Amino acid sequence: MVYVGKRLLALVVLLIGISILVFLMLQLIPGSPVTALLGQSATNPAAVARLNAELGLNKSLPVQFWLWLKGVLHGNLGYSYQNQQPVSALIGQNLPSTLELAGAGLLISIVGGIVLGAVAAVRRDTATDSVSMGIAMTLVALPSFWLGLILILLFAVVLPWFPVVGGTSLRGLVLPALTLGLGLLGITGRFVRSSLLEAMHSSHVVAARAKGLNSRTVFLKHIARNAVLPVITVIGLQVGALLSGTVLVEVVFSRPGIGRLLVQSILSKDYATVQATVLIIAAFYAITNLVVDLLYPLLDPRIGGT
Amino acid sequence: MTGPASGTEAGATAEHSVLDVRGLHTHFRRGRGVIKVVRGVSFQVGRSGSVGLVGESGSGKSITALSVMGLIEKPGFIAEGEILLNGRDLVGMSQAELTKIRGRDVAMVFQEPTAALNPLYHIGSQVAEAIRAHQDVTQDQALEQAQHLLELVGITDAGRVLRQYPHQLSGGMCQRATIATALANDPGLLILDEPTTALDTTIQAQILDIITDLKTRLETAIVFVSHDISVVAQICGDLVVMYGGRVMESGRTEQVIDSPKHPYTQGLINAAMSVSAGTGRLQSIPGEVPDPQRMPPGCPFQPRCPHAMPQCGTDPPLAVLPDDRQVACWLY
Amino acid sequence: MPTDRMDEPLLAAGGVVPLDVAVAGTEDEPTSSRAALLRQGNFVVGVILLAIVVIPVLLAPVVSAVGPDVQNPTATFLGPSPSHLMGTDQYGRDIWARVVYGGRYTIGASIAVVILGGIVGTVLGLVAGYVRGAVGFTIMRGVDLLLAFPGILLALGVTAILGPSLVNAVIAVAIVAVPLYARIVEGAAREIRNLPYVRAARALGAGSGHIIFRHVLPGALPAIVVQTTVYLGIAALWIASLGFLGLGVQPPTPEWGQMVSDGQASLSIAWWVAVFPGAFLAAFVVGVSLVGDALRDRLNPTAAGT
Repeated sequence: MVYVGKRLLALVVLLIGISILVFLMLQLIPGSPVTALLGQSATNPAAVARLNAELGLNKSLPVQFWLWLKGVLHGNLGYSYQNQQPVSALIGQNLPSTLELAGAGLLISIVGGIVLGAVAAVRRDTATDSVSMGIAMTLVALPSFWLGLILILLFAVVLPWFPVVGGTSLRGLVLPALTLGLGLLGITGRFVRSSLLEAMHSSHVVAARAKGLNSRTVFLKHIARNAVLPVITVIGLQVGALLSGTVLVEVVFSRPGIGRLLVQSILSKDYATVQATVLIIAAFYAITNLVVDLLYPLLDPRIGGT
Repeated sequence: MTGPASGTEAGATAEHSVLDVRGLHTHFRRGRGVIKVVRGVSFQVGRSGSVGLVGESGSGKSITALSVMGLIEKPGFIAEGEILLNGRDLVGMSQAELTKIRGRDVAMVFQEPTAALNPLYHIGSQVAEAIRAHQDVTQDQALEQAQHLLELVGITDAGRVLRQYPHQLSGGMCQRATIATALANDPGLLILDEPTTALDTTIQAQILDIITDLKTRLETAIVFVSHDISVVAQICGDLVVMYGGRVMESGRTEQVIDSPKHPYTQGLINAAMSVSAGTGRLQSIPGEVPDPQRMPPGCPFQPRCPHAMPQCGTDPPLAVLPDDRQVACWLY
Repeated sequence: MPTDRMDEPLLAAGGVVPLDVAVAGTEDEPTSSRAALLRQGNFVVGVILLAIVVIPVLLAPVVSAVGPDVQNPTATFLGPSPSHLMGTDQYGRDIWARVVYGGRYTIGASIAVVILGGIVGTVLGLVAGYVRGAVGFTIMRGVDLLLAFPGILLALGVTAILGPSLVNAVIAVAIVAVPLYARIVEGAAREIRNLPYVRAARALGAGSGHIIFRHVLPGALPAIVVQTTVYLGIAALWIASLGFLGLGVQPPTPEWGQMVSDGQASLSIAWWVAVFPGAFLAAFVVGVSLVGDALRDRLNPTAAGT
């Protein structure tokens, strides 16, 4: 329980730190926050006055932060003048699509990575092993936006199997998810390989065979089960890459989502939305990391003070 | 019965022995050649017998033990020889058949107790696993048996220990647990590979006591592998001294200790005695253990032997002496 | 009798097969000369890839007949041919010229990122690891905070504040590099600080600055070099990604990422406009990865092999 408590506390502290940083973002933009947020409407004195009051710009910085944070916690993420909508609505519209993409990408990465890593581990030091790891390494290094374009070229233009512009249909999900997943698959694959190898050669596997257990049992109970732990770490680490990957993939495929929203807001100087999306993504990342951390004591009795 | 088993069992004829190793050669492929780690080892273990495999690191004793268990894997392989367990030759048996035999007819205790246990499962389930591999019982029944086994090896709070994980127990406790696991199906033969080397001296003594006790009570045959001749001498009725992948000398423990024939055995005993005597300088055997990739032809001990002769360049035949003594040395 | 550990003497005795090897096959390091050869092969492939990419970039004026901005309205969207190795784009500009000149921006920016981020990160890491105390604590919490923003998110946030341009992109990606370097250097500094000879130097009254430069920095150097090889490729990917999103170099300046974005619109009729710059980027990143891996193996022979 101490373990959980400590982690939760660390998360809260981190979230506070993230919010402070994001809040300061707005302050750092040249010009006052008001002109930044209003953009073109900055000439409207009524709007300016209203925003001034709302942000409490006449008050000290910490108070402003508190006002802003209170607003965020109540669901008020600001207003996007560029889109004529509250930011929370914008995010609500775009979040599901991103989650869908990230989930599909993660699935591809895990399944593909396990297959790749397992094949390489079982056939270690053979040509299969080197080729697999070579593929893994190349996939990691490929620029995801380029990979996406190649996939579009091959499977949407040359072979018209999939839509060029990733719509919201299932078919429209395939290429973007592949782009996202293939990039991460390399990392998962390498990790699966090394943790499987380590598990395969550990002494307790020998002892298990000495007990007269058949190969299947030995593999499932003593190799796979032990190899799972480090792989979970790696998957947890990938969440970050997934989140930042969706930015590029959504733009390449013109797919609605938080990532594309963020980029568009930066380009259109819609700082309210920029601020909110950065906050949401960072917070999501922090929370996911915590969840992964909490998975550990469940899987490994050595951790968490059992 | 008191002390090591009486003389007639060990060195018994093949029909009555639990284990009969004949001319075992175990090699390892490396690059384009092979490393010959075990080069023609033979010995027998009778029912309720206890044989100590003694030798320095690199003598091939552990590989011999693993060969008997059928646990040698690529790049290793058994090149030649027979391993007769209760009359059946294990060499050339399929993995499926070996799986049935391991844990039931022959079991093994390893050197590092905590490493031999899976850190993710509690002790009870690991002992139960060994039981259910060969007996058709439910998990609950297996756990009950497991508890009895733990008590058998002297764990007092067996019920609690059942539910604990390896990292929560001391090395001594873990080793007791592995011994319990090995005995789960009442194997006719128990192989212990340096079971006490990784433990503190006081714990060593405890574990040795347990082993002796079990040996007497259960009448299980034992093969005890160790580099420490004094430890082996306490437990085993027979000694097999190995060096450079070969058997140098074998015979009844008391006789080998009292009157060692082979120069290597003499060296080992002198070294052991000088330590326990505690006075004066430690006696050691000059030179180093040979590299199996660069094994000199003939007797492997030749470079370090005080009695080396030109003849030693050829393999000395195994001389059979009265009282079932065997020595591989040109002196005889 | 003195207890000698069974495993080490076995190994020390010159290659006798250790126990676990006997039972469960070989461990993670390549045992066969074939695997070691493959490693060397990887290094060679990496060098070749880098040569293919870097040499033309360096020699751009030599290898390219025309400049990157030369337009030719009569030669638009020509496919690859002897006169235009990589074809032309919608303005008739020679893609080969744009790729080799553009490489100077992409690769140059990546190097700048690594130098900038590396220096700042190293300094922070040295201070935090050696001086420790409140200063060290603050620095490392700051590092943790920066690392709470996954991947490209931080860089996006910075470009949002500073505005799109190549310089700002460099700064943004460098800021992301700083915590990575700081962490590694801090760890190394902390370890080295406690080594016997450093302790002795401190006891003798040697100044902190002196110790840092003579002992801590050289000791941390392998880690820094390793991190740099890892990060150079990543930096290139991110600079190009920012370029792709329109947040880096502004047209008409050629930069690989931005060129890929340009080419996307005409993907179905002129695939070469987008594919070649991306291919060069991919080759650069893969090459750096392979060379980096090989260097890492040399510097860290005890690290678990991949």
